[in-house]
Amino acid sequence: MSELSVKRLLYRGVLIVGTFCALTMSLVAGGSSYSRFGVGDLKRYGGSRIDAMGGTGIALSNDGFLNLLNPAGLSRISFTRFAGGYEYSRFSSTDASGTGEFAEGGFKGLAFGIPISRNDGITLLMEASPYSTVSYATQLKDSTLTQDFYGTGGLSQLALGTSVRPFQNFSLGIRMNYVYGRIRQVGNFTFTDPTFTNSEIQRSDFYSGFHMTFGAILDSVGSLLNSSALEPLSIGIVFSTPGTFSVERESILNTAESTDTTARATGNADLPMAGGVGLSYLFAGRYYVTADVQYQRWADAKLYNAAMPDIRNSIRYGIGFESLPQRETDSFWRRVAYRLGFSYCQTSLAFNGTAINETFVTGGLGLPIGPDARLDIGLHVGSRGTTTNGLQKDTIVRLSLSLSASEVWFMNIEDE
Amino acid sequence: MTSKNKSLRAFAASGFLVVIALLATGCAKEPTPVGAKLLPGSDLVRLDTAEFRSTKCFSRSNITQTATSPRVLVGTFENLQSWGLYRFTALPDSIRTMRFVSAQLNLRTIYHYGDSLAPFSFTVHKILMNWLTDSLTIDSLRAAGFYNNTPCGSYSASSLGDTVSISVPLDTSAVRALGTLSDTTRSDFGFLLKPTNSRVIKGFGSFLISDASMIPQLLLRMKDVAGNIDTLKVTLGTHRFVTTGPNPFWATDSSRLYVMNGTSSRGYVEFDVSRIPAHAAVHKAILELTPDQQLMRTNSFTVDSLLAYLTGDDGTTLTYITGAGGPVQVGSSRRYQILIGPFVQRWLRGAKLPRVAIAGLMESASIDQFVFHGTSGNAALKPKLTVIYSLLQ
Repeated sequence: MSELSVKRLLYRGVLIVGTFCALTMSLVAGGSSYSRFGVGDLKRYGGSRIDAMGGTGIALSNDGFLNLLNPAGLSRISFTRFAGGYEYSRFSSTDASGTGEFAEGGFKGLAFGIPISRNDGITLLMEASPYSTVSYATQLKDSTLTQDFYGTGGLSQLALGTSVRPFQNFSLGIRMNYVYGRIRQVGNFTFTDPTFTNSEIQRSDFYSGFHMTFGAILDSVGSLLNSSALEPLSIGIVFSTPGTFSVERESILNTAESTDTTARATGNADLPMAGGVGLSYLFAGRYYVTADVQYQRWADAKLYNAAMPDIRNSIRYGIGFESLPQRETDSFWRRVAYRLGFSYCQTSLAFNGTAINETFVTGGLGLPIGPDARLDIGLHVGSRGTTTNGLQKDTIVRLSLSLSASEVWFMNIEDE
Repeated sequence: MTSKNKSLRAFAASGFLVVIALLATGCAKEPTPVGAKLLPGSDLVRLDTAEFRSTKCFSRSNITQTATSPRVLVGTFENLQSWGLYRFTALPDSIRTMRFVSAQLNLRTIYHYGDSLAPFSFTVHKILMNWLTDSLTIDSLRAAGFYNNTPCGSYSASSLGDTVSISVPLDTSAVRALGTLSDTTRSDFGFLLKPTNSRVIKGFGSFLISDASMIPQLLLRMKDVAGNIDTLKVTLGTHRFVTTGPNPFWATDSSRLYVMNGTSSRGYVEFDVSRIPAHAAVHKAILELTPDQQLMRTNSFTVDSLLAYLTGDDGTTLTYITGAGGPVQVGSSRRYQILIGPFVQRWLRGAKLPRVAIAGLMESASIDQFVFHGTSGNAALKPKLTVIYSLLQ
């Protein structure tokens, strides 16, 4: 099969699969009821490459790749690069009442990395990405009352960051993050008895706040330790400062007779500190193995000066593998990057002492679609939670697509 | 194909996917039971019930708009009298010069209040003054000069059924006097039916009744110059009835709540609902009144339902915010229940006067006497308000 035929086949395949995924959302749009808690399902997005490698990549800093986990990982960008993604998620949620199928899709992020000085590893990053999503629709019904609950919205993040490489193998990065967004929760109460007045409560919380992320990557650890075996080893570290959200809350109670603003308040919510450590090792110049540990201190986080119930510290472990594409080959498939990964996460949720944990197996491809453009496809398959203690288990399939490409912008002639 | 073209094609494909995905995410969500058990208790509606006894009650007279009634009530029962008024319109100007053979008022009975077998009688008087349909009181009728004291007709029966057509012969001179005097002077003010009996109030069809055979009729027979008899039937006009009004004692009696149809009495009850949280959602509120069966008098022709009206902060009755109810059997006793959820919701939202005005549903079309136990009587019989509400923040 010629390369052109293969590409056509891929384009069409991606188009068909993507369209199918998008259209199936019209069946039941929504997500897991776990997104009701905290600020919703936290979106941890480091780029589709990182997603496909079990979410690991704190220690990765390559050209042709925007590392959104660690700003220090931007220091090796040669050309202005952008990356944008879309993610389709399908949830199969099971509890004692049965199984529900939900699907949702949405923008996964858009980032620009603009190298200012390649020699010094100075790169400017601009990023817009989802921070969390709230999406659920559930119902409690008995002979007298039907209670429908909906949650929508979530938080988004706008970030501005930069990297610098003060030493040949050592990079630093800093990113300022503005997190904002509105979370809406609706409870709709319909009585069977027509002499009862139905009601609906709408709660809306608007969050906004800043925090900082610092990162560092040490490449070629072996050269520091005089160990050739550790030469391809990189160590990365990332730390996000705690922040304080300003929260504006409004509750509106609607009945057939009246609309009443029952609460309007402003307060604060804590965005807890987060930190992570990662390793990457490049075997034979082609095969990356990565491992990350990330932690976020949710247990002490407060909303309106009150502890949030059912919240605990989260910790995430992940390992990843990537076979880098070969550049000097005519074979299309050899120019494809192949990725695998695994992750385990103790999420920030725990109900009545029962922890809600996640396990995911990931995989993906990085398809070359131009001289320096790549379509990354990532697939996550995993589960979250448990059906014990009256809880819910989600089986989750996520398909992510992202486009990453570069262009020569803002470069000095000398640099170019 | 150049590599640039290929890149553009990939862009287009990805863009297409993103657009479709964004559109599709706008689909409505259908809730399922899965995951509902995860929700914190604070999200769920929890119904609370609060009971209140009235803090104040009184009765007050009210002008009743009987001009819209399908019946005109005439008669006397106990201390209550009802006078009827009919004014026929579209009478020809020539009526003043006609040579009448006879004139009669044809009426059809459709109702009674009191003793159905009791003797019934009334006299017909020509009204001498203009009157309106919305502001007439018994004192207006009794004022000197309102009507001609000399009757122009009368009717008397030892008893009168409820589906009987009666004819009351009228003095033709009184009919002739209805004719137009001049372009600026009118005299067609109609007839007053003044009861002369004591134990029953009868109802006659009004101009607004739907059955044409029950509409009041002025039947005139005249002789023309050739000696032929002409007949003129007039069935258009306005009407109303006016009663002697509520017992003056009722206004000061807080041990009872007096609601009377046709006689302009409404009951008022007040509650203190301040112990319900201000932002509660009221799902149901039932005002329950215990009738004093000894004093209840209801007719058997119209429903004995009640209406409740919200009272504004200044004490005016807001007739556009209503609740309706009627008698129910509660255990071994009979009660009247009215749903007033919207009232309580408004009280919680800041309405200053938590007062309900209670009127009969047939206030302008019949006579009924509803008497309920009031605030100063037996505590267990006081007006009761039961509120079912929830509190969600």
